Amino acid sequence: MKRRLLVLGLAVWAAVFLALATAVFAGSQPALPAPLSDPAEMIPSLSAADADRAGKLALAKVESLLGRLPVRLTDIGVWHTGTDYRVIGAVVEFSIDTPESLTAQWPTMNYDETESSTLLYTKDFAHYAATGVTKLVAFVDLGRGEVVQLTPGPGAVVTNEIDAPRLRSVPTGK
Amino acid sequence: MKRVLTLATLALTLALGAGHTLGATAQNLHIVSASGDQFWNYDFLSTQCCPPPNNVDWAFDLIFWNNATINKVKNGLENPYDQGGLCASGMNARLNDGTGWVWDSDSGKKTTCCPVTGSAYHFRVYADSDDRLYSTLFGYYVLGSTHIDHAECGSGSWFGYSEDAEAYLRQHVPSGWTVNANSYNLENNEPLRAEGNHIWQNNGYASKIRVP
Repeated sequence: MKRRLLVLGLAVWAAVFLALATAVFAGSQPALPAPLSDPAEMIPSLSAADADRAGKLALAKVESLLGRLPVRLTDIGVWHTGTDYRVIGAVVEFSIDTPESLTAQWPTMNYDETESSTLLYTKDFAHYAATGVTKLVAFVDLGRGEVVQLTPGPGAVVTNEIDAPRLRSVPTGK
Repeated sequence: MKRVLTLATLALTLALGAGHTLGATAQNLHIVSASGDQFWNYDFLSTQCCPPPNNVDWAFDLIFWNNATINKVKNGLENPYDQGGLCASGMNARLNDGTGWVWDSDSGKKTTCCPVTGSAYHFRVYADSDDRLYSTLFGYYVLGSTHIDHAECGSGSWFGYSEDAEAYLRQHVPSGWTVNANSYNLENNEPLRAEGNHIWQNNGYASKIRVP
């Protein structure tokens, strides 16, 4: 018990130290990123071949997770980093004409929004039921050849959280 | 021991969460002019001058006009947007109502506070010091952006889908307010694209919502 308290105490002190250090060194405002001369040139695009591959990977994941749903691939776009504009893969959107109720252990990722870690994201799961699902959104890592996240899209309502981790208690700042 | 590690992880997460997220990159950031008024067509993470395109949060996609004020809009949309304060982080807009450029900050209102699963719909509205802008084109008006915060406090977070968020808001305006969907070109089209977990989706046309 004493050891647990010691570990917890150290963690809390580390947390406070980090928060204070961030405030002191960052000042009252976050540092302004280096300006871009032409964002259109910096933002990468997705080749037709990569878009096709991402669509197929995403559809296979939908079918393996949810069975044969009447989904249509309605949109696809590049998935890239925000700091150095590297292509990670694609974001793929599927539409379903009739709203579905779906329960799944949804594959999720925890994306490092500072992009300062060695890994851009860690893989996870969230098990829940959702109704009114008319869209599915998949993140496909083309380097790994893998769908790392598939979740209900806009409009869906979660009705039962079966096993979903709480990772933070305050908004991330979006 | 596992529980202690979980608590320690949560404490560290809270500390790191106190830092800032990265700005996103706009494809069509510029000044829009509307009958004498001017404004940048996205909101920004910080209020430092000469906004670069990689310091933005979301594209403007809402114009509340005729007789709008910040408070009237927020009060009118209280149902279902009843969460604010610490649940909603602030952003900044750069506006010129004809008397010079000013910044305005707003954290906005959202439907759910930091969901572990599912979505919160979030809008922010901006004006200058008297909480409304004026032009002969729009009368008294305020500008807004909107987006979805999906699983913000859980695993699998994504943010964005502004067009869907705009459609959701249109469905929840009070009776007596008139909606003209996607009716004013703010020249900030953003095709589907994910920048980290920031999902761009905006058709460039704001919905005009007439506030009586």
